[in-house]
Amino acid sequence: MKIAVCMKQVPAESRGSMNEETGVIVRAGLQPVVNNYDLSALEAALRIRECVPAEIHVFTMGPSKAEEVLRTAFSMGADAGYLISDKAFSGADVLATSYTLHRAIETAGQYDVILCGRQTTDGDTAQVSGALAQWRNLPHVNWVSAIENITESAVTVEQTVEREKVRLLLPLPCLLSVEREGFLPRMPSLRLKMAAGKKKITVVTLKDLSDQDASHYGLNGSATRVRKIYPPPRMQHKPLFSGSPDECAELILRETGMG
Amino acid sequence: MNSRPIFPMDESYEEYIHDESQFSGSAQSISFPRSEEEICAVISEMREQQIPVTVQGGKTGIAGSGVPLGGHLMNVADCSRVLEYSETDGKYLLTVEPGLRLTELKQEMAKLGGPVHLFWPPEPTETSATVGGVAAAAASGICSYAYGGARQYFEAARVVLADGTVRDIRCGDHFLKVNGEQLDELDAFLGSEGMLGVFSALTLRLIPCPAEQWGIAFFFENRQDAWRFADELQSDPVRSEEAQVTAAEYIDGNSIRLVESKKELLTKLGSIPPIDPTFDAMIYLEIAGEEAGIESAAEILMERATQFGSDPDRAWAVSGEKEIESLRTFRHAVPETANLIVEENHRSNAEITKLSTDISFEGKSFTQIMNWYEECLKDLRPAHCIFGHIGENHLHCNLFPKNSSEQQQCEAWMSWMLQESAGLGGCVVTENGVGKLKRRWLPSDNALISRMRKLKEIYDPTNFWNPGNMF
Repeated sequence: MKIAVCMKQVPAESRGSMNEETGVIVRAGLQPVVNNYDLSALEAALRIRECVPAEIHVFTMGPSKAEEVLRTAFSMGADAGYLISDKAFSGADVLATSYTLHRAIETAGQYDVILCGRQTTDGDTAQVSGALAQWRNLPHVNWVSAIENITESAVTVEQTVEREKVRLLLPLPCLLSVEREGFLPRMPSLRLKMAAGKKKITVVTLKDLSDQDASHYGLNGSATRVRKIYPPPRMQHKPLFSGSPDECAELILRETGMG
Repeated sequence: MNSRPIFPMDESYEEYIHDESQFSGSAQSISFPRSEEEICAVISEMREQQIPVTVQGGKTGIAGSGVPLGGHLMNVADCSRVLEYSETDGKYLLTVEPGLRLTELKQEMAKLGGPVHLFWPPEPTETSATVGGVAAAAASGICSYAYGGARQYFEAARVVLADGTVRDIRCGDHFLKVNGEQLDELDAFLGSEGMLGVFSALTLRLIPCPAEQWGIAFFFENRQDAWRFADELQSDPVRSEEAQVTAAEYIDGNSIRLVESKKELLTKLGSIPPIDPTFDAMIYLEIAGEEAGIESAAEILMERATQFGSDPDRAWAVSGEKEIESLRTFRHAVPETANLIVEENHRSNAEITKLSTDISFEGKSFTQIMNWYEECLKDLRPAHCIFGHIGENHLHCNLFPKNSSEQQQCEAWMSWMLQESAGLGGCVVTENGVGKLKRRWLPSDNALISRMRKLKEIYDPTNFWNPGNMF
């Protein structure tokens, strides 16, 4: 079985600053980390491999520094890593990102399962997995909280939709977007980390793709522009009320209009 | 908050009359000065009324040092500005007010910018502690293994004395003779638990961050194997020009299982997967330096750990600041969980307090000390856990009595233990302080206590500051 996992490098924290002209997040000076949600996607892949023989290939899109994502993935057990990196790819929105991933994955062959994390902590759109599935014409399930069973031809998953749990059977190949809660990532192993630095990484650039029209990628290939990034307004002053439990309860009911 | 600096004590300030030790006290009044000026104003008023003052910071102490026994309570946590940064004679110096928390200090150091990233080596795992608290206890932290104790990373201190005098004390400027010992005056104040004066500013010596850093956790199914691994770390340190082990921490199986049992309450541990409950010990190491050197060191450590029965496929290894932070968070979760359990037991029985050792032994093997601990603990019924720094065998044995009888038994054990360890050449007070909790257990001829009595005569003969600490 061949499994592809999409992972991204994101800033450890956000100061909400962006290039006013392009709408692209400013990442300079921010410490990069692997997107938490994507670690869960890799964990899901590793758990599948514990049940059936499989190769796990990780794809990450970003500048050269994003190689660290692949080294982390190797430390956790990934078999191969692809760094999708080209100036033409930068500034991509969901449409362009998913298209780039699609074309890059294409260069590595066919995959039985593609795994994505629910969202990234910088873009927060949670749309790339669905868009990627569309490009690749794959059945796709979001909010996967468990993988119950997998064979060469099908996978049974549990999907958590608000308060409901749904059991779904999908044919392979398919794309799954997993929830963090169901797949707590394992810690990188020392032995694998020692070997990770020596593993080969395949760099995928524009000229490696079947579609080399630069206007289909990056900022040029994006259908949307970020207009503004800003933190939610914070209250400067919070009134503090202290009283007996009954007094507090009365106040809450009064303030919420439920009294 | 009322703009007046002094408030009569009432139940709305109840949280301030105890610290993490669960030792409880009392006070007539409380203040939250925000500057040296306000500190001096409070002191002046208290001196006029002849009311002693207890100084308190982040309330993270575990010996009751910042818990008042009457008098006035001065909480300096609001006195937390960064005052000055300078690069002088090749030293990177940051002057801050005492209430600055270690988490805030880290943020401030990141803001400094410049080509050299800096850090402050005394990094107690309790990151909500204040810089003033670290100074008052001369706390060390996990990096003391490579970088040494906190004292050498304080360049100067500005101290307000009981008579209102403000002294600027700089390392190496002035020396005292105390009990026949030559003592740098700055050293006199570091670790003095607020008994000689209150810090209004502290100048920290920062050092450049290493190029790279790894954190590695080795797990052992047999604790004696972990001890032998620690012995070898002590006798044959892994160090080269390019990299060195900067932290070496021991966490016993009881500690691991305690943390696992309380994980739901410790949200910061959300990213740490469960640890196999059959593991009997964990050794956490940090390696810093150049990447190639770190990899070589890691390889050596992996081979050694394998020889001592640890499975390298189950050992954890991370690199990068954020990832290492997650493993440090686990390490800190051990004392945090211990404090949580003490707090739970204290709610059922108010007599229960934190009971933990803070003893270091030079010149002994780790196995020797752990065997000695096991021998000392064999007849003690209440649960316990042991964790700490492998360097200098600096371990914290925490006891968890559940009722008055067990509390008394454990207190008797603590008293006996400290006497025994002093006889074995141990330093019985290393980084947690004596405070009010441990003073009754210290041997009467303890050198630290004798020294403090002399210093108290010099700097605070009227016992204005933190009465009840140490003696």
